[in-house]
Amino acid sequence: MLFVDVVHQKQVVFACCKEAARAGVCSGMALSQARVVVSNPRVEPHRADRNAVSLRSLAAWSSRFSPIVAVDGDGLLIDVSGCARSFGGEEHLFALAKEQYAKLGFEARISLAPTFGCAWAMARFGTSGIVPDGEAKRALLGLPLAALRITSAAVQALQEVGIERIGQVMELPRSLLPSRFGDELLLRLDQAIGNALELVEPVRVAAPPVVSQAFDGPTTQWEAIALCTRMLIERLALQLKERESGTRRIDIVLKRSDLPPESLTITLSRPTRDARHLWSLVRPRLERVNLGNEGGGVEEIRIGASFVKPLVHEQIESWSERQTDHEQELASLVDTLRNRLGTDRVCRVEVRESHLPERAMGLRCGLDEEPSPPAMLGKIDRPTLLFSNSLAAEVVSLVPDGPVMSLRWRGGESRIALTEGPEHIGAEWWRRSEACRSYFKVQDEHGRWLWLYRENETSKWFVHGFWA
Amino acid sequence: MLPAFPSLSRVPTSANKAVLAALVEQIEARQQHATRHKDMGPIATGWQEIDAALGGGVAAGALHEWFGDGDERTRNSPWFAPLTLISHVAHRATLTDRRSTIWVGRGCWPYAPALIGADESKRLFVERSMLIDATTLDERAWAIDLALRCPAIATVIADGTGLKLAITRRLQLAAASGGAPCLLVRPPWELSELSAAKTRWRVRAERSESTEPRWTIELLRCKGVRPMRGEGARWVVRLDDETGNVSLVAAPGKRRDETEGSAERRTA
Repeated sequence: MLFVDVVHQKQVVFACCKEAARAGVCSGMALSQARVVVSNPRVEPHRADRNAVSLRSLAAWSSRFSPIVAVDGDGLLIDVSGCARSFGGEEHLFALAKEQYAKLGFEARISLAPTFGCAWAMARFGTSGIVPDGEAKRALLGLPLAALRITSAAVQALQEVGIERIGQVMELPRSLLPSRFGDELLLRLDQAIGNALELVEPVRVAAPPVVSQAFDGPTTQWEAIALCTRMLIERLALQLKERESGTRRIDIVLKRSDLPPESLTITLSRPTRDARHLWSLVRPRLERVNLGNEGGGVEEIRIGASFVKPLVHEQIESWSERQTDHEQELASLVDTLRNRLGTDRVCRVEVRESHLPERAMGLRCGLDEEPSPPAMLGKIDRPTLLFSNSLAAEVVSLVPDGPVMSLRWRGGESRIALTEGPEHIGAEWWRRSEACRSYFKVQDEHGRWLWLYRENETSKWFVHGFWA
Repeated sequence: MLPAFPSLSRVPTSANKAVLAALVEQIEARQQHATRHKDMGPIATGWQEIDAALGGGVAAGALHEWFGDGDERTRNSPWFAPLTLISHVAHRATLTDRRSTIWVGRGCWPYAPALIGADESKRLFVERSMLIDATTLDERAWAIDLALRCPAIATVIADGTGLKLAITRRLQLAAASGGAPCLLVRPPWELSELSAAKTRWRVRAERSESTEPRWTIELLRCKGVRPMRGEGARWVVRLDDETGNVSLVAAPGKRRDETEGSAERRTA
């Protein structure tokens, strides 16, 4: 497996799997060269943006170890000071982290050290493990200069005077360093051994908003529950507003004293924080809930929003002057329809590139994703209505593939005045089981146009649609 | 943006009134601007003689019933919903802005590849269509009503089988308040049912010698327009195989003279 990046119009390996590395591939190698070393590798383009996104979500996941997790280039910095006790010591924390990242499928190089700089260096250049307190300086002694997080120019400048290891830098007089190699070297060195402060910007993970209200005692009074739910929705909407975001799904849990908790889920076609709209969707669902028996009832209502997406604030205007594209109104109409009829019963039309008549039109339930550009088939002569199940028919014609004389279907018989066709429509080659069909466009004595087909294998006739 | 007005407390009362009147005027102008979609003009069908007979086109904010071809005496006999003509009208309604068309009820779902031609506006019309699978009568009536009141909708096309007078009244009111037309497809045996629709149309297939389908359209009822007798309210349209456009066929011989004559009389 190789990830390939384009550098100077040349395909270069950015990263590779363990097996490729064993065969001799390394990052920076030209792809053509790598192909010689590894036979038939799987090659994928390197996507830096996706890498960053998944690293960020891994950082969010890592907040189980410590509240302060920061993304640093291609790795994570986790500040576990004070957290080790809750895991039973640093050894246990280290083992747990290793195990959990492995479970996720990551081969993480982890090291635990008194400073960020030391841990960074140990994870990349040293041995993976725990550096005890006060040992940071000693651990760094033998590492190469790049482990100090300094620019390659600074590394080169040091190498020119014969300095290869961090230990050698430490032996140099401190006062000489800034003037010859820049301020950064000293700062990084101090940060690594713990003499200078290092600040990181932790990834903040906002928990999805949840609001809840407990009653003094269980109640079956619908008015009280409805009022409370409405207030909770308003509180939720306010929380969403503060975050400048909207939700695509809310879950309402009614905890009942004598029955298992009831949960209602409402999904929305686009993010919203409109309390009135949410309530109009919740209300009909709430009305159908069994609130519990006499003596029991609802004890607590909890509403949580998931799939929280950013939604910008809008200026309040009495009379909007701009031409709206009505997206918000359409979305709330679709939500209301879906809430009663079901998600799969409100759809958009999709014209697909297929010559099979029944596959040329599809239904799509999503509203938010961009519609795929429909196939431009040009105008083809197709009926205005196509039956979802073609209806069996009996046909009399004098010669095979010749004009149809009469047709019997849906319990009636009609003479056919005009026939156009046949148009042969074959099965798609990847579905061999289907039969080829011969289509005929026929006009009956009243002038109605029908679309008939004969299954060529069985010679059975069907009516597939009509023009009306 | 409001222009700066002199402070009300310092000017005499007569001036106060003038200022207030100016403000009221501005507010009203703005309100009209905001509710522009509600008093939208009729949707021109592009069929000149029919538009002339309707006074500009199919009225927006009203209920229109289209009766399909079939046996008018037998209930539940096979019939043909006049979707070609209805989608023509609905497509014309989407030409001006980016609004959607809603199709309620599986019975009136069109076959989209037949609607799309080489025309970009038809592709957009199909792309912005929403199909709603409402099965029971209650669900259908509710969905139509809801869609009609939504400002994002250009036209509601619905399967109108079995709708009673009371429901059509409700839908007519909903259409009037929302501003979009509602085109109901109804089976031929319901011609005798009462309804509150503004117009009623009967569509029947017409024999043709070529391969392009033709239909006879009859305007059975048109509230608010001087009634037309006899042949005046009957037209023949044809579907062009190549382009998918529906156009008016000049009625042959005597009929053509009559319609022309009546058209001239009307315009005179």
